[in-house]
Amino acid sequence: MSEAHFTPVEEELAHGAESPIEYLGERNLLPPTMTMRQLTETVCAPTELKTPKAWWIGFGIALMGAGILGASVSWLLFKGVGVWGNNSPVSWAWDITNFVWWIGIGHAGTLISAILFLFRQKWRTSINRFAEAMTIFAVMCAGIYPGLHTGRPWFDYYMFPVPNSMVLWPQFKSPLMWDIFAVSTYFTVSALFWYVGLIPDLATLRDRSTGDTLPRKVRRFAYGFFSLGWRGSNRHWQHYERAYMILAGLSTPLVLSVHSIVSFDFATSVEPGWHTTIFPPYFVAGAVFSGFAMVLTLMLVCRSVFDMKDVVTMKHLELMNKIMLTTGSLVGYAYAMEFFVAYYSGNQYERYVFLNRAIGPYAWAYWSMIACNVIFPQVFWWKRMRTSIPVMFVISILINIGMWFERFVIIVTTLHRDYLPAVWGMYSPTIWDMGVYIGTFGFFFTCFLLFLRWLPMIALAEVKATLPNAHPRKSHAADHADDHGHDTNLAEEPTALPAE
Amino acid sequence: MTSPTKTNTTVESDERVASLLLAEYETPDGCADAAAKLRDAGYTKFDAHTPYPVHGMDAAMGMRDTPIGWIVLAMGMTGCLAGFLMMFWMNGIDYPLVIGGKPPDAIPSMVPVMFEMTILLSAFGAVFGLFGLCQLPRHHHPIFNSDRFARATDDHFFISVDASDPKFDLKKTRLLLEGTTPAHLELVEEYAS
Amino acid sequence: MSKREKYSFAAAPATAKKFWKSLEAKENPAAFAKAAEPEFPMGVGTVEDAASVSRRGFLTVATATAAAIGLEGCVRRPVEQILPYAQAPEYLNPGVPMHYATSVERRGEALGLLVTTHEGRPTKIEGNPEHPASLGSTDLLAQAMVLDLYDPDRSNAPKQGEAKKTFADVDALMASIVRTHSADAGAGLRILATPSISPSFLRLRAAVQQRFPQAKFYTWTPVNESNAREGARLAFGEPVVAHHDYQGAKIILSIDSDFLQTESGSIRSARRFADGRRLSQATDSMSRLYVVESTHSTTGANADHRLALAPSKITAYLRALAKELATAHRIELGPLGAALQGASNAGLPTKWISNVAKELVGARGRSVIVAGSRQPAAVHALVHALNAALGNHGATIVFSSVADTTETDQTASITAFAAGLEGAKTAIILGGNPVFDAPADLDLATKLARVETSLHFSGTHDETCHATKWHVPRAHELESWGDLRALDGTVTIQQPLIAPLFGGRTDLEVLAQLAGERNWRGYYVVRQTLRGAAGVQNGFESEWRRVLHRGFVAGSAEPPRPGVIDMSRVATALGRSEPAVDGFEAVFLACAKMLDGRHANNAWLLELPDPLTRITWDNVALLSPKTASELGVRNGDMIRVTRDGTSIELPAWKLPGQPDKAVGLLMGWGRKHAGRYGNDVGFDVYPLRRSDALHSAAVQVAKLAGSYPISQTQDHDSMEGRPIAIDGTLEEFKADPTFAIHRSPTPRTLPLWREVEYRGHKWGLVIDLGACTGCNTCVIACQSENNIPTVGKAMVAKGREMHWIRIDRYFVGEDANEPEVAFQPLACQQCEEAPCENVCPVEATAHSPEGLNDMAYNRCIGTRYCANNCPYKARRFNYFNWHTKNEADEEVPPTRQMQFNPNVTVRMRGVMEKCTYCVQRIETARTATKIAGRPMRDGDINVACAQACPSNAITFGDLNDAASRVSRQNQVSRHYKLLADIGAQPRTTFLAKVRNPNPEMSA
Repeated sequence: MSEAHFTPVEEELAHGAESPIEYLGERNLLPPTMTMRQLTETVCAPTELKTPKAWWIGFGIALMGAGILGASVSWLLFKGVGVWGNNSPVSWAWDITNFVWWIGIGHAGTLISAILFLFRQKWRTSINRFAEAMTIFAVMCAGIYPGLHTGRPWFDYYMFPVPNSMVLWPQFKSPLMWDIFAVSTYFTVSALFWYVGLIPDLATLRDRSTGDTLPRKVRRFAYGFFSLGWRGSNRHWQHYERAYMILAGLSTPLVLSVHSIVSFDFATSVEPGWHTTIFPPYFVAGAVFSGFAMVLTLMLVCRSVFDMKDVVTMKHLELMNKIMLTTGSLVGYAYAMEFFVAYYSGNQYERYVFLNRAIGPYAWAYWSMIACNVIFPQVFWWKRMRTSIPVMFVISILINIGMWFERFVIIVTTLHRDYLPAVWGMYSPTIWDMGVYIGTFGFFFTCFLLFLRWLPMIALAEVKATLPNAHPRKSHAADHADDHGHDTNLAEEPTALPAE
Repeated sequence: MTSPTKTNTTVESDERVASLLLAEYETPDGCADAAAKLRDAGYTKFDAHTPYPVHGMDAAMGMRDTPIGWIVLAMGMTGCLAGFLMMFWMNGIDYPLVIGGKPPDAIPSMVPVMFEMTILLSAFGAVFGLFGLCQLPRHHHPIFNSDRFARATDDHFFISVDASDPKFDLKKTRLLLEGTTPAHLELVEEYAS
Repeated sequence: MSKREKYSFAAAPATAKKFWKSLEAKENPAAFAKAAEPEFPMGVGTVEDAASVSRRGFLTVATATAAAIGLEGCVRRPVEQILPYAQAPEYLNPGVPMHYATSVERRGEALGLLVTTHEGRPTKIEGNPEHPASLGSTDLLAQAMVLDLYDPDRSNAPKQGEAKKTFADVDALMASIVRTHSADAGAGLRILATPSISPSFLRLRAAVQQRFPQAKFYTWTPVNESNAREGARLAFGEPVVAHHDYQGAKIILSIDSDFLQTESGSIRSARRFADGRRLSQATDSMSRLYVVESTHSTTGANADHRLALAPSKITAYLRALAKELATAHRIELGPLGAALQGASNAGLPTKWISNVAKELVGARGRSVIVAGSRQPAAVHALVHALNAALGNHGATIVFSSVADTTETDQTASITAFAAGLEGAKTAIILGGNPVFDAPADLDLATKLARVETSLHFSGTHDETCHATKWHVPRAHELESWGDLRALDGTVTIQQPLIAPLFGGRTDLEVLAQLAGERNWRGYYVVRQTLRGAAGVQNGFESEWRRVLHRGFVAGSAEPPRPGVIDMSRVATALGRSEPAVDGFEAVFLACAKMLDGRHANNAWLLELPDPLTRITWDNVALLSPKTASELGVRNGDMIRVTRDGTSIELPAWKLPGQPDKAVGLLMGWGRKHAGRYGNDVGFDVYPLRRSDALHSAAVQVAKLAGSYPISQTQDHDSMEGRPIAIDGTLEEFKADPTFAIHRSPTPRTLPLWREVEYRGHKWGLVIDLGACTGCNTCVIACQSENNIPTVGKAMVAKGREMHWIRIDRYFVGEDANEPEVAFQPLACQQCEEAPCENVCPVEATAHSPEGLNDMAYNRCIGTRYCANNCPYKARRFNYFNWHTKNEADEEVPPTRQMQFNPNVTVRMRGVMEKCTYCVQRIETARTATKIAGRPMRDGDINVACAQACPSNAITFGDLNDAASRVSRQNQVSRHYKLLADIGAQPRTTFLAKVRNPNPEMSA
């Protein structure tokens, strides 16, 4: 495509750009030959063609996993939290580790769909739908833990601000209450954001499901119902784009706040190794890090299974690897800084905890964390590595493992040896700890495979807007001088709320 | 390609009334041109239907800015205040307890929840505000009576002029639209009610 | 209603005495109330309203209650008339606990007790403040005793072989025994009993002797005082008991004596010892304790200087010390001096001889040398001689006569019994469990099998019952009438708190039947004895009431006297020094929990961590770290201990401070027929214990393949240099009396908010680490007061034990073989700015206006966040439903529920729990004082741990009352707050321990 097709804003982006992140607003993400029709076909194909065998196999396995979750949770409820390895002093272990880990996974989705949107990164359009779906399912998995790790889950409703027989209210000084609000808000907003994005594409699916066979009718009804009678009206697009931008604007501070608040669970405590001001940024960076790794892992699989190499290009993948390299290094910096502060504080309890992490009984966990999160991602400094599918696949999985260990290290190595040596102890998980964890994977992939099969995994309308010739050559602003600036396009630059 | 002059013959006009004129274009440019023409001709009740938000279309149609931002602002402030009042009343007034030796109504610990409440209600404002302004869901719009309209969510661009537009006149409007060389032009009718 | 039949008074003997209490009360009810009040503010009933409740009315209520709480009518009031310590039964208000005085025998001492009963269920045991032996405190075993009462495996019927019989059959059997032996004047009659300090027992035994002149009585209990008795016999010509003044003594030398925990009279010893060391200002002085011992005992852990010696070396040490005293310091030992010439210092640290001798001489008349019950009679005699020579007799040591002067050495006695079983027609065994715990070489089981008629009276159907023809349930001490003679001669009464749950006879009743007493029931037996007893003047009935009320016969203590020692007899007894064993020696230790095995089915004690090893649910072979590394064994590795032919296999454990080559073997474990909890728990060491060497023996030790899992409550021994259990030397204390608070300073920071002011009461607790001996009594006291469940070995291994108060034990010092020990009782610190409260999302834990960190159990959802955020890890979580199922998924028996304290919530699964300063006691006292219309005074409330503590290490009270004991303790300069730098502002505070080492010892 030629320069002529750019809006003034794009011109400005391409030429007058200073910060590298603006350069990431690359063009030619899709092959120039790609037409809108082709695009529609490619994206809708997985939901319309016959279900591939691979899908059925995957779905079967995932369902089995979900079954394990059911079994483990039932046993947990029947017997009590004692079936887990938690003990005194390690009252939190895998439960909260997995909670934080899953929440972290979720964050990449919001980051891609919201933050990159605000940064006008066109390339996000190929992966945001996908990532948002992942966010929602990951948050669901995360939500399982705070709900079930309590001793008496059937009384969890005491944590909601509803009147009860004891006329007591929730205790809003507790970070757990902040968690409740943060995580539920996060889930709700992500779901809304995702759904709003889906509406035009659902309409596309609706309009494509013609024919009078029952399945077609069902499709037509279902997609029709959820697309709310969307007719691509420009008067709607106007509200839609603004609403979408606002949601992006809301999700950005939200996603930062959620993991900050999760980190408050630890940062506001008195435990050495937890009581740290570095936690919020450190947790957020970690969340983005692990989230991108998970997106990449899933992306690589779907990309090959559903043959989407033209939509999700190597360019996309490389950009994601760059982000992982960055966040990985941020996390590495946090690790180093923790140690320095522990040493510099002169607080013997703090010092001991960190020494204990590095050379204590759980050193193996600590060093696996360092290796997976800090050392391995460094290979992404080399373009050959950044652009090698097998390498990035392996690394992304390693990163997910590493980030799990990070949470494990933070929680268990702090608790198992805190202030009074007399009550020091060790922790080891039981089969039921593992059951629930494996189960959440089953649940996650069950949801994810259903998503891949029935919903467009690419944000169709958004990608179309990034195609060449997607927009009129000349402006029709005419005498309506006050209008320019409102004619936003969600693939291009959004404007701030009207200032004038 | 069907001739632009031919109307939809399957219509028995005695029991149906004209609902809207639907012009179809293959490029965003054609669509935008047509919109601009209608705007300059003083039409107000016309609309463009595109698979994705076409850049510059708002200007071409001469639309005002959306008020959705203000809805969100109001909702956000409501959320923030509601959160504060809830916590202040529950912990500070209705059943104050000494927790960790701190004052029952300590403000600092309320900030996170107030923030989350702000975001939550803002998001509701954005989404349900959107539905309200667009009057969605609406599954029965007459425009769906056209068989070709399905491509509006695929790769074609449509202009619809509503029959209720004060300047709407079947002949004049059709001529006007034919002047924009649409790929297809049709009269969409609906049952008289 | 059938329950009511059980209560019908037809069962009660129609005696005219039945109504006197009512009459008495009518005469002068006010006096009763007044008598009751100061002692028992908890008794909230006033005479007026209570009097309206007739006895029958009460019984209806009680029955209804009993039925209601589904106790199968177990709650039965004894039919005899008994007088409560504070209130007569007809004044009982259901729901208001009553307190009765009774007593229990412990190692030849009578412990005066106060037992709390709820609607007739004994639930809690406290010491009788007026009793000379308990001083208001109890020991570990007394606290746990109440659970034995409700042991679900207690035998509930007489048995012949395995066939169930009735008590009618037993009576018939007794009658036939009497008949047969009336013929042979008792020639074939053998009676084995545990050593008794009961005047009634002695009276009846004499009566039986008179009726069956040929009958023979024997005495045996595996942990006994024979050595001390025989030692005294040698020194003074008569078996007298020594009373040591550990408070007045400046220098205390313990020769293998664990007088703070397992020895006789440990409660009084611990109290006096602690009193001799409570420092409040720099000018105060304290005693110095030297301990020479063959294992690492609680007493050793409290020593200022401790010398670990293999058992065979201890005599040698004492000889060497005596020689030093005689030669270097010219101590007058008369003929004894010559006998000591042979003594040599070979293999003994000389500084321990020269310095200790110097110290003892320096504190003439103000020192104490005490020998432990494991030491042979000669050593005891020599110790008496040295004390006499040092002028301690009559000063720091006085004597009184023993209850049973005829008792001979028990080893000899049990040996004679075993031998005498040949040609015996009838063998009656009263209590004890000789088949399990008698010297192994006697082989009682097979010998008993040959006896025509053999009976064992015993609480459970134990090992001995399996060897005898007949088993008859023996009533628990809390179900029995009896009388006991305290060491100082005080006649103490044992009155039943509840009718025998499963029937059951007492020793007295059996003897009375044999003696042919018409009224053979314990009640009459005891009254009979008391009539003739000292101190009972005319007007028996009123005296009897006073005795029951008080729990003992006032002024029945005999005046203590100095002993007149015969040095020459000691010299001859001492004989020549026997050579020290080189190679391994086994030391047979009285277990602080099992004693000799009689408490083997007591889940509380099984789960109680050993004071030093912190091991639960097991016993181990204690080795010194050095010896262990020589053997190449790690903790838990199995070893074989062999004594010519016989061998046992058990896990080894490194105990810092254990003498090298001395294998410490704890007795009483590995029972086969103890019950569901105690069967096959731990390892039986009795097979190695023979009549020829009862207390220590040369053995071979071999490492075996494989190891054995051990559950500890604490596996980290070092304080990591943190200011936790702060201790210092006397010098440091004198230099800076506030050294503790300087080591754990409270950070000076401006408060971010207005701190809460506590007007009215402000409850606080002060724990004196200097006084705490680490005996663990408080742990069990708390467990029985607060319905704390046991969780079992597997769960303890997972760190899920539930004790609200625990005693952290740290080893201090460089040398792993000569550690100093620091104990620190730790419960919830009731922080004023409690980290746990901040993080609870549901307000399940919050502060009371009086500063308690309260728990609302029914609000708790169990996020466990509070436990994470507790710097002291004082919170306990119910990971399972401990109260309906135990870790083995067995139903917890209903009898267990009878012990529950109705004023404390029984926590369910998924709930966090912790110490709340016995809030139920605070509220009871509040109600009581409100009704009495007076403010709460200091002492109205005492928390369970503080009340039980033998050494008064724990003080509870109102910090807003400047005059209260706790406020005064809070002013003591040793005072500090644990982990003060966190800024949680704990309400519980500590007084640092001060050690009093002899500088010359380190020189």
